Formats: sequence, structure tokens, C-alpha cells
Amino acid sequence: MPPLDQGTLVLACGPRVLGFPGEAVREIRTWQAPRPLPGAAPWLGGLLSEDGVPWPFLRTNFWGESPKPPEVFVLLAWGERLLAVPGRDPWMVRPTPQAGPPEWGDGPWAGTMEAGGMKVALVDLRQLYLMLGLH
Amino acid sequence: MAAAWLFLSVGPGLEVALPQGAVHRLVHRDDPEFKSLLPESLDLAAALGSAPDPTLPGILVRLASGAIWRAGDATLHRSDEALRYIALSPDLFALQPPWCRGILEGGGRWAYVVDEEALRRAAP
Repeated sequence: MPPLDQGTLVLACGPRVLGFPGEAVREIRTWQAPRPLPGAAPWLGGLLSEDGVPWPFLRTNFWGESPKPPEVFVLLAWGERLLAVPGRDPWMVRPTPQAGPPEWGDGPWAGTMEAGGMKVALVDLRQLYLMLGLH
Repeated sequence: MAAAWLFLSVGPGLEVALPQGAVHRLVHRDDPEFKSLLPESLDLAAALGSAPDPTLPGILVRLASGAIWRAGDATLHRSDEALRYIALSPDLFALQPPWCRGILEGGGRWAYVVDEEALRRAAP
């Protein structure tokens, strides 16, 4: 498996297979439901914390509905801001040639690639954070 | 943290905290004043979009600001209870300014620290 900072983390998120930049991955942990936050931003599924640092979670249905519950969450960092992304079947792949954005319409897409015979939509973290209003 | 806190149970698994200095008086359900103050109270469960917990006794909290809040129960921060304050960024909330400033965590407790003015503005 390639080191985290030299590859792409592929993760099944709801009905989609997404790729996240390996250098942004801080941890991959077994799924643990976050604590709900009343009045949260629409994208926020809840919070956990560790060592006094809050971990905001994306909603489990942020990328679309799926009958399969999350198995893991991936803790990502863009600058100093953390974001926990629920998903299933994480694995690292080496960088591969990329194609244009997926045909799913607007989204924080950096492009697409093939991995394990599947089309993977690559997530542009800067765009995702902007979309969520995280600064 | 050194500050003393009052914890209010609002709904199932939902607890909020405010500094004891912000609290003027607690009025229990069996207090004769409870019924007369009830109509002017802010229902915390409704304001936070939570279901009230029917197993809790019901209490009114008169704040130093004059506002009255309705919650399920109230407990005081024990001096031996070590709590950590975790600040929350405003961009995690739907409404601005956010009703909550951070979390008090420790010993199994997880309570949201309320910004009284922001909560009153956000309440339905």
C-alpha cells in the first residue's frame, strides 16, 4: 500500500466512490456515531472530540442515501481545520492519470480516476471546505 | 475550568451549561410560582429542536437577565468534576451568531455552553 502522502484514499461514501488526497488524511478509525449538535449547519452530522479538539462529522447522507451504514470515518485536515468523513472500504491507491470531473453535476470535484475497476471521483478539499463554509 | 456551572438536562442525551453567575433562581415544578412563570418561559427543548424528556421533573431557571428558561432538570457543577472546555467555531452552526460557544467535557459529561442572547434570538 502506498504511503498516505503519496496516494489517494479511496472511500465508498453513500452511493459514491470518492478519492481524497492522501496527504490530508490524519486517521482512519472504526465507525463511531458522533454526538448530535442542535442547530448545526446542514452538512454537519455531529461531533466527537479528542484531546480538546472538536472533530466535526459530515452527515452520513451528505453524498447521497445508501442502505449500508458507515464502517469507518476518515479524519481529514485542510490547514488546521479537521473534518471527519464517514464511509466504507477505505484503501490507498497510487496516483493514476486523471480524467475530467464526474457527470454528477456540481460538486467539489478535482477530476476522476479508475481504481479497482471503479470510477472514482476525486474530491478537491479546498472546494469542499468552501462549499461547507469552513474557514 | 475554574468557573462554576449549572447544567440543564433538556432532552434525551442533551445537556446545556451556563455559568452559575448568570442564574438568579431555580423554580421547581412543585413550587407555587411554577405555574405563574410557565407562560413566559422559553422552552429549551423546543428552542434546540429536541424532544423533551418526559422522565425529567421539569424546572424553571430565572436568569440574572430576567429571562426564564424551562428545562427537564438542573444540576450544579461539582468541585471535583474536572471539565475541559472545547471551543466550537461559529461556522459549525446554521444560525449566526451561534447559540453555543463550546462544549464542557469530562467524566462522561458533554454539555453545550449556551450563549444566552443568541439562543433567545434564535428561539421560535
